[in-house]
Amino acid sequence: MNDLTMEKTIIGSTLRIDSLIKAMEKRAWADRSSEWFTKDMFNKIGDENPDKTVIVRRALAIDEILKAMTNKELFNGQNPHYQIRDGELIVGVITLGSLGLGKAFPDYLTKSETDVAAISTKSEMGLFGHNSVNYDVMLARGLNGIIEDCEKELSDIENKINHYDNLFKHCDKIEKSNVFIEEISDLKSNGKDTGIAESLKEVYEENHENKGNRTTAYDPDLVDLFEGLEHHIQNNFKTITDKRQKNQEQVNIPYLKQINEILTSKRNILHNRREFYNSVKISCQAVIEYAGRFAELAEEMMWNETDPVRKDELKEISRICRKVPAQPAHTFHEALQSVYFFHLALHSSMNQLSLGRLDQTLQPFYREEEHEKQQELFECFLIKCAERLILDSTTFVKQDHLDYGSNLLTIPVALDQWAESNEFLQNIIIGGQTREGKNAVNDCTFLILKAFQKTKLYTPTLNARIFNEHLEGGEESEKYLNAISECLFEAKNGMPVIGNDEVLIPAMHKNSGIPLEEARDYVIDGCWEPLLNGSSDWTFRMFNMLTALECALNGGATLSSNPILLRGQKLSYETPQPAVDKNIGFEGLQEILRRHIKFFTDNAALSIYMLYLIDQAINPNPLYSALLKGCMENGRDKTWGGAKYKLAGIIPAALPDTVNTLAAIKKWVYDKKEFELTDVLDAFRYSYKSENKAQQEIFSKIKNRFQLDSPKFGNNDKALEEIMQWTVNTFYECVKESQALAEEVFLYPPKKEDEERIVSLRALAGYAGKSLKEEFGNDFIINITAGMGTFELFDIFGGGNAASADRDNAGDPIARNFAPMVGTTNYSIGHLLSSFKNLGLERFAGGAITDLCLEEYDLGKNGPTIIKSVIRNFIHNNGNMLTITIADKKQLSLIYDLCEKNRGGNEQAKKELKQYEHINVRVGGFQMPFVTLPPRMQQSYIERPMPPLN
Amino acid sequence: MKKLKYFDISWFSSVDGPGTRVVLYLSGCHLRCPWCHSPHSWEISSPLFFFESCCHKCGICVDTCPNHVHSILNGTHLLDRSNCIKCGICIENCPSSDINKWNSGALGFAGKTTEVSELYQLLKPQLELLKEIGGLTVSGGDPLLQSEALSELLEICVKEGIHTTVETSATLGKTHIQDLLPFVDNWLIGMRPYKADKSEDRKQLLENIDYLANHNPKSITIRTPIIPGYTDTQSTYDTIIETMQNNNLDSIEILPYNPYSENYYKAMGLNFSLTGTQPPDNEKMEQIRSVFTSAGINAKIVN
Repeated sequence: MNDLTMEKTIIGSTLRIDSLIKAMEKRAWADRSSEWFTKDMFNKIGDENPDKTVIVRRALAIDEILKAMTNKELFNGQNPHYQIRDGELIVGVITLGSLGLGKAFPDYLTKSETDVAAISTKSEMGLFGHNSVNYDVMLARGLNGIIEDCEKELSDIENKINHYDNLFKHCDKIEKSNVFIEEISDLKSNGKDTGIAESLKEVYEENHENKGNRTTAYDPDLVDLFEGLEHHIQNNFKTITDKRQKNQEQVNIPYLKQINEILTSKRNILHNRREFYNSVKISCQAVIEYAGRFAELAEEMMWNETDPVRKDELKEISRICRKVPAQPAHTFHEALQSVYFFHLALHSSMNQLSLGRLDQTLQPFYREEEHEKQQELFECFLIKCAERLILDSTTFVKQDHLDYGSNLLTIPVALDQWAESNEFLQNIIIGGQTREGKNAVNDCTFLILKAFQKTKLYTPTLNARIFNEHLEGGEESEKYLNAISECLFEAKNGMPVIGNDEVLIPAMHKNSGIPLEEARDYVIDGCWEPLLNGSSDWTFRMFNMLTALECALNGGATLSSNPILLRGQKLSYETPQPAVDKNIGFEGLQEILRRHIKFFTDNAALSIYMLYLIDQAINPNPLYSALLKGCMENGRDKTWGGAKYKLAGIIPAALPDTVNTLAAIKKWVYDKKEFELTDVLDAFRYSYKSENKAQQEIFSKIKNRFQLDSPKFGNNDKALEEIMQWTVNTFYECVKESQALAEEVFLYPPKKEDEERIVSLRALAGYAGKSLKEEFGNDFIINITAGMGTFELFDIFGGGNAASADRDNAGDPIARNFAPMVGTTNYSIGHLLSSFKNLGLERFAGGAITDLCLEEYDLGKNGPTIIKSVIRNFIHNNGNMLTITIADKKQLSLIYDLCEKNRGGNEQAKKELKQYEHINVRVGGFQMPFVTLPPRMQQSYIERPMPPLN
Repeated sequence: MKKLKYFDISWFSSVDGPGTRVVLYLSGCHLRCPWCHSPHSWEISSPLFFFESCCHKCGICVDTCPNHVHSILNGTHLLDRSNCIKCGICIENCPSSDINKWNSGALGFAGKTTEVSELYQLLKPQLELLKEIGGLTVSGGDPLLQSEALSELLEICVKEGIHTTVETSATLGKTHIQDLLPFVDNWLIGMRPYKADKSEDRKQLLENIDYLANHNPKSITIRTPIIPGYTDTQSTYDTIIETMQNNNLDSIEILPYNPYSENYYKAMGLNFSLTGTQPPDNEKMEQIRSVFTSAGINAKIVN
């Protein structure tokens, strides 16, 4: 094979990468069900340590699984997790597990915790992921640095606890000993210290005033209270001792009870802190030890290796594993291995977290003279992140390890498990700007893009940030846009996802209250959620906008055809029905819709606050908290309000469907008056089908008018744009109003005269405590952001809706994300992209992503040039986020047929399918090998490429 | 502003001028080339399309047509085109058809008259997208027939920095070309000399080529469809080569016959004389290409 042919046929930059990917895919086609850990392989951490706190037990469980992963005895002596595969340069093996298939992890809850969790919809499996790690600190200081910090904090905490103990003892003695009371009285009378001055000084904490009850371990009242107590004793010691001697009874000494209460609560906070730092220490130490065991394995293999080249590689691997992540990294290889060990530990302990701005993180370690070696190393790293792949979807069912608590949110959301079977919620983001607003593109940006282009792996998800300077800038910026376009064109899988800095940064900074520097440092995580780089704790709520519209049309009920529900399922307020009350015009309908949107945003915003604290009792997160900004400084876990920023997105699905349907109703019911709204609602309810001939005729007419002759989102249509603007504005305003409501109820201390009302509202919202600012300090706030999209849940969401102006049948999938419904774009990409221009998407920090699929045939040879123009146009039109996938309809149809045969057990089809394992498509929230998708999703994907463009 | 009548727009063409382009197809053509693949560009008495496969035989058109063009007899939908006054009422009422989309349902009009500024607004989003990698090509029909109105559209394009190309048979008077000249970056000139073409057309073409070549020969690309039995002859090639050499033109695009236009004729109730004609294969196209290249002409096959 000459060099040229070789370059064309191999995957990745080198033969090593090619063979690693092929070996990975070979494993991926096998039945991997026997590679899962089973509970009997772990010690029962919960049962064995009932006296330890949940956070410590979780840390122990992390240690337990990392130990099991390197235990040679397990899996009949063939532990698939404790191996270094031929040619690997980055080592360690993540356990199987994904968003759709669930996880395997040691039990760490006690029996009573497990029992009570039944009411919480949370379980040990409930860790949410959806956050991003900034590895800069770890690479600079090593985990040893973090452990040292823990030890320093722990010694400080120990000291404080001792002083609190001293104060407790002091109080105890006052309560019990007359001699002691007399001593105090004497000392006070002589102006001497009674033995508590030092303790009161030592427990002092700075900034205690705005730190909140649950976070500060100091109460300034203590000094006055002790002063009051001892003053009282000095004045009354005779009376007290007399009473005690005469009656031998308990004498109520003022101040003492209050002091004891404060001491208990503050010492508890110190205990919590101690538990936190201990857990961080245990977790970090577990990762270091895991790495050490890989150092041993590499060394062992080195001695048996006969190939001198590989022998040297193993020697180097062993050296690196002994060094990182314990110590700071000094080379590119060390940095990558260090990041991978931590990433691996997070993902194997159920924390599906992202890798953040890796081009920024790795650049200090990059050496131009070693470019090729580093390119290969990075591709090795990507393979390690992707190697959990399972390609044969017929094996999914027996690998389903999800439980009731594995859901995404605190309220269960039905998942499309099949589609998510290979989704690990791992993202990398490159480019964009620095915290200072400068161009952040560097050598590693290009290296990472090249790696994705060459390997064509579908995971991790690569995201690229673009800002105006990249469009206007010189050679380097042009090179960046070219590299992105070539990667998109060659890999075809929608990567990198494009994030528009010009829209997302203002969305975070101006519209969501995030400081500008932090906003400039944003990352993408989970599916496509914009959040802050290693400094935010994120959660989200979704609702279905089309359901809100159904409620508006049908008095707070869905347009269900189920007769036992009468009008339909009641989901919101009962509101006047525009089909019944003819005085309600289109504007009236809009006002009713606003009420229902507000119902759903209220529900979302209130529940974000209400459920904020559940995690701490069940899913604490010490390993992630070790690197999450704020936690180490505050001595608090991510789930105890430790993170510097708390973000929560409210994300409705089906905006395009809702607006398409509203526009059709406006045109044909209110403007042209061609149909009665009652008929339209029945047409929706019964999927435009009727057995009655006359009714069917009406339904058919409605369907034609609504589907073929009404404006649709994505066509740059003015009438549609007006309705879209109204809907988007209304949703945004509702989010702001709901946020204010939730803050009034939960966040701010009520004014004295308003206290009763607020306490009552809190009770109604299921919360009995003090305001969260009082509890967590003045800085505490949950920044609620608005976004729009479906992730991969378009099929599931649509399942609950009646037909609409862009869907034939009840239950059909809704439009994907914030993209036009498939088959409703009549013009061009330019029309689609210009549809964003006037929507004010710079308000949507929760992300509003559009998935564009282009037919390979249409792009021809000019692919990269066209893609670059599409990206430029998207940024110019103030788009928020964009994916561009490239598909070949004919090829997808062919693969679908083979998949159907494979699902029917045809072995030959399975063999043939293997040649299509690299075809990856975008599934709303992520990329996925097409061969692994559920049939309905495969079918709908075939229709996705934009309609005939020529 | 003036109005333009067009019958189609292609949003993403990579074969009609440099780069990737929007192609606007203007209605009207004074030629009647037998192989024409856009009979719907012709101004004829009843330009109504009827695609039988999309018709549900619901009879709404029969009831609503004021001039009784439609009838359904024994389950067959018949059209009496002589009565058609092009009012479009049948299309508006047909459940499967859309007045704005001539090829989406059973009935349709290929042809829409729009004021220039409005038309530009329609094209603008995609022109913005393609601005740096292509531009607008105006084809037809023959766009020279609407040269006055077209010059307004092209003037806007030039102001907006959009590259312009006009594809024409160049067989109309020079004034049409003069109307457009200041606003056209590139000309695609159709040359398809064959036995039956009219000598006055040929003469006008040569005059126009001469005029444009004097202005800027580099702005001209000759386009020739290779139609079996018509333009696939040595004498056609010789005529073209001679004209090109006389005018210092060095670029030609040859296009194989497109056999997929027959259904348009059928849907419009027109006869098609090339039924069964097969397009030249790749080998044949390469041979023809080499005829031009050996004459020192830069020849490209456009599929």
